[in-house]
Amino acid sequence: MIRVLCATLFFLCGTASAADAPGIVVTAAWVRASLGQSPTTAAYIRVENKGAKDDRLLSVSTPAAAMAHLHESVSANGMMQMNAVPALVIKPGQTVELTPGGMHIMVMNLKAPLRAGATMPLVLTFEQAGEIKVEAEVRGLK
Amino acid sequence: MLAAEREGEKVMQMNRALVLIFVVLLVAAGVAGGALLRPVILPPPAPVVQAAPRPVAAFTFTNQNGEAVTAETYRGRWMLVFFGFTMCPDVCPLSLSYVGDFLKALGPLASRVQAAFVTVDPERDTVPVMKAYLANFDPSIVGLTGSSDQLAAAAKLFGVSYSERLTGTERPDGGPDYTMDHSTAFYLVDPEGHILRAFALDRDAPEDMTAEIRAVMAAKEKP
Ligand SMILES: [Cu+2]
Repeated sequence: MIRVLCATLFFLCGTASAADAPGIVVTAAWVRASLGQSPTTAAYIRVENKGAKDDRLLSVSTPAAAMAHLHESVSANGMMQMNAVPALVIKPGQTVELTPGGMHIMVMNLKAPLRAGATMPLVLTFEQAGEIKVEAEVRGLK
Repeated sequence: MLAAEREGEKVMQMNRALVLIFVVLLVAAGVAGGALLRPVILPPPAPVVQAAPRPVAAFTFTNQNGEAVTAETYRGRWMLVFFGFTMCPDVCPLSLSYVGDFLKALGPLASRVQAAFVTVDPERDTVPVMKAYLANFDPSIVGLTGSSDQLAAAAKLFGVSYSERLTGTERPDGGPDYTMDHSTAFYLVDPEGHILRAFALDRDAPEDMTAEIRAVMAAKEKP
């Protein structure tokens, strides 16, 4: 019942599959609307580990783009780099927030431009919690 | 020759040899001493130290409307210059939206500022790509692109670094995809074209940058 509610009201639930994976809860998912012709954008989520065990975010995908990777923007000697994050560890009780200027889900080779107001499905694969699907709200700049 | 004379001759030869050795030693000591002393000798008094001249912005680019522009195009106005690229999905949109906030916060002074976004990826960031990208930000921001030589010359002057890095993935056309590592400072240029200072958003809070630029401008814009 909760799952059906979530599936229809995913905006309110924040996560569509919380009932399947009580350890990991993904909320506040959003993705920046396409800027011009750029086929690249970034998505952000909040991940909370309500379980008793460490979990790791292993991979991300979306049907809206050819590729999605977990990245971190880091500043080294005044140079900004984006580095791949192979696996994000979330400890029990920990909440990890992806925010602009830091960690992000880099969405590459979008199949169609993303317009503000729409949603984009994100499939997050965790080591323990398995696949969690969320709908990321397409928003403007920030 | 008498034995005594031969003896005297020998002594004289020995004396000459001793003198020679002494002279050689003296010269050697002098050279060694000189070498030892040299670093201690003070250099001639230096001329009065002058403040290093601030670099003057110079560049030639094409703006997002396809018009050729140079640094002189913007002389007489302040500039806030940022280097990035349109396929930078995280830091560049954030930085450009800060520029919009900054211009709003400046109020009437904003009309004295030209904000510029210079691409470090001119191969992909052509004039139409820049135009479409900048449509999402403050409409007064100018987008500058050009040849790799034009970019290299400007970057050198501003002290900006950038480099291509393969992402290990493929482009839709099958070619290797790449991203750009780049400096993400904002450079403040005064109306005479002097590059005054760089602000880094990972170091300077946007409000602090706004406050400082406003103060610098107000001091100089006084009648
Ligand atoms: Cu990235």
